[in-house]
Amino acid sequence: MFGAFTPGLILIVVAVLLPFVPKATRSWVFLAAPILALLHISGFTPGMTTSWTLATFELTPVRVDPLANVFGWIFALVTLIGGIYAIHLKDVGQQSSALLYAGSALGAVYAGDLFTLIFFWEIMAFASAYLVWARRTDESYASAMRYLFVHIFGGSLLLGGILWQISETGSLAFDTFEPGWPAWLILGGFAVNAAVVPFHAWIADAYPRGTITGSVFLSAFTTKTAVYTMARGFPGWEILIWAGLLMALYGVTYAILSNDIRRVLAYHIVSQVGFMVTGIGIGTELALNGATSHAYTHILYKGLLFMATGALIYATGRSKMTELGGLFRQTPAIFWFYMVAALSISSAPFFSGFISKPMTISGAEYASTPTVVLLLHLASVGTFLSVGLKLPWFTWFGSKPDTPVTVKPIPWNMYAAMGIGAGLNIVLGVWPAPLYGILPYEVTFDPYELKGLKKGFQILLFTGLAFFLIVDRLKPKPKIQLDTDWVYRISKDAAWRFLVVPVQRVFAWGERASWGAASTLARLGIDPVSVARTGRPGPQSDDHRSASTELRVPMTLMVVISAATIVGILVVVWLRG
Amino acid sequence: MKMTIWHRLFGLALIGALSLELLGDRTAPVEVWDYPLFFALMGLFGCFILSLVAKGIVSPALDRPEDFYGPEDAEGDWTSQSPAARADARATSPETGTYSDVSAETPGRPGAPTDSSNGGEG
Repeated sequence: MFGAFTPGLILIVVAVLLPFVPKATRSWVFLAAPILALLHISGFTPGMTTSWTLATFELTPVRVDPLANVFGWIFALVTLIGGIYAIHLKDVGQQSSALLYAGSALGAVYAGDLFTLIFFWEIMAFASAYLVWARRTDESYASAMRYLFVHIFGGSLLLGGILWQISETGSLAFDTFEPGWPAWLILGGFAVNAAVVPFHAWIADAYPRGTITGSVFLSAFTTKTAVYTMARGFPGWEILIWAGLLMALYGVTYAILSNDIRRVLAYHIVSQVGFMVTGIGIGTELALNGATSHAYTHILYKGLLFMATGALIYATGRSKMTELGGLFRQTPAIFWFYMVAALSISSAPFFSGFISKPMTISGAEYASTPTVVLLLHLASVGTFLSVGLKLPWFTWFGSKPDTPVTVKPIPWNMYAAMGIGAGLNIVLGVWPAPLYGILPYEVTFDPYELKGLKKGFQILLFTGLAFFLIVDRLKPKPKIQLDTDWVYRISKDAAWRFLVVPVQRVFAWGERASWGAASTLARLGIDPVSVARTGRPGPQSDDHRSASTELRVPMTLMVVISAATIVGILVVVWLRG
Repeated sequence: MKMTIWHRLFGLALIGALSLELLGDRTAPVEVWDYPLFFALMGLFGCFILSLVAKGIVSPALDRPEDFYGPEDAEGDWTSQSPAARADARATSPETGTYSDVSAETPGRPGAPTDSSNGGEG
């Protein structure tokens, strides 16, 4: 229908045109972009590629295969749902940057070469930072700057690795990497975007500070694009098993302690991506299918979680559990939408997470150590504890805050988007065949075997029992927890003094010196004959209207150009002689 | 504590989950997770262990006040000043100076309001 160009291009073109569209129809034009992208992807067949030659390099801006298609489908779908959620939005900057962000993520997953990949990778960083900045507060501005700082660091690792890779292999092809320094640098770049501990703190810093609609998009693309690139380039790298486990447990531990509801969810992105990274590290067909399908369902339920919490923030103007509570009667629909997503992320039977996360764990049971399996189960317990129990309990139930909460109505489109998201999470949970049919490898896993049901029900119900036994001890506190961003946030003053101030002083010296030199030259140029006769420059004059002013510039230029020419000639003669 | 319908339903669900152990073929356990009630115990004690680690170890060591990184970093409420008013405030803020104005103080955002907004959400 459209030929083999990247579907991301559709979103990017619409993002560029959006400011010129009348305000009243802008949100609807936004929705047209992901719909066209979905139609475009539906015409893709595995094996389709587009290749260009750039100098001596072969570029492949589009490579269609099952792995890329899984991510392509869900990226376009979540852009559509997010667009519906944001229909009420009257901020063209956010709308355009959301489309640019989604389009570049799509561009990255269909990239068949490393040049195309980093091109879209960098656009993603800037477009996504805007969604944090767009809240237009001091905290979001600073957070967006830190976000950019971290992603530019990650992008630099990736670019360095790519250049090194090209110099060693002479190829731009983006396929499985062989161990070596270039591959480690590239993996480092991917790890920053995947929020691998200790490069993860940007996610808990920025996502709670993004705009209500912006964070829905943020939750979908950056980390999952990185999961895709890891699955493409580093399947079976054992270090990823342990990196993923650390992420899974680290994320849930911080989520248990977090007070801001979207920070809880942000830490859970770290945790859930940890499951995917572990699956990629195991590297078997079952584990890779598990990681890929988990990325797919994760985008659906995490988007719904951010939509529901965003709707609550919209309605109440509050985002901390200590300032919420007892809201069930006022916001029952938001609660139920939230719970669909919470049960999905907790792998409850008949919800989307149940068809994907246990597949990754099953991959570990067959091909990894018992320790890995047990720690993954422990992380699953933590997921339900914090997202499925603690957050909803202290937000919608529990005691009411001292200051009464005023609830304002939310737009119809928010309900519509959450309804679609909840419906998809349930449909996929009870009917996984459509997803299993597009996974990279043939699926032999059946989540609804008795063993799987037993595991799902027992873990959730007994975690629930334990939670209600210790619920008072888990009460949220108005605190933050130090994380690895402390290193670059607390060192801000020192960095300013030791890195910025010296550079500024050099520039200041240069500025003074150049002004001084220009001033001296100007004074010499007022009356060169007198200077030649007396050997002293003329008096400094501030009278810019004096007659000699007209002569200053050409005379000074003449002296400078002459001197430069003579020096140049002397240098050439000296070099030749 | 008063026993409600919800307590009874939850109790029934727990019994139902445990009774799943009675179904299916009995085979000799190979791994630890093959033993009966393993996942029930994992849920129960996993929750205690994670809560203990989070609240008993991580929280005392790493908890800080919400304005630890400065008052401007604490997340405020979402209902205050409109984005348009913020844009106006920013437009009237002083511009930064030349390099000769170098200061050893860390930079702030001149003229930026100190409260928070709802990012164009209306």
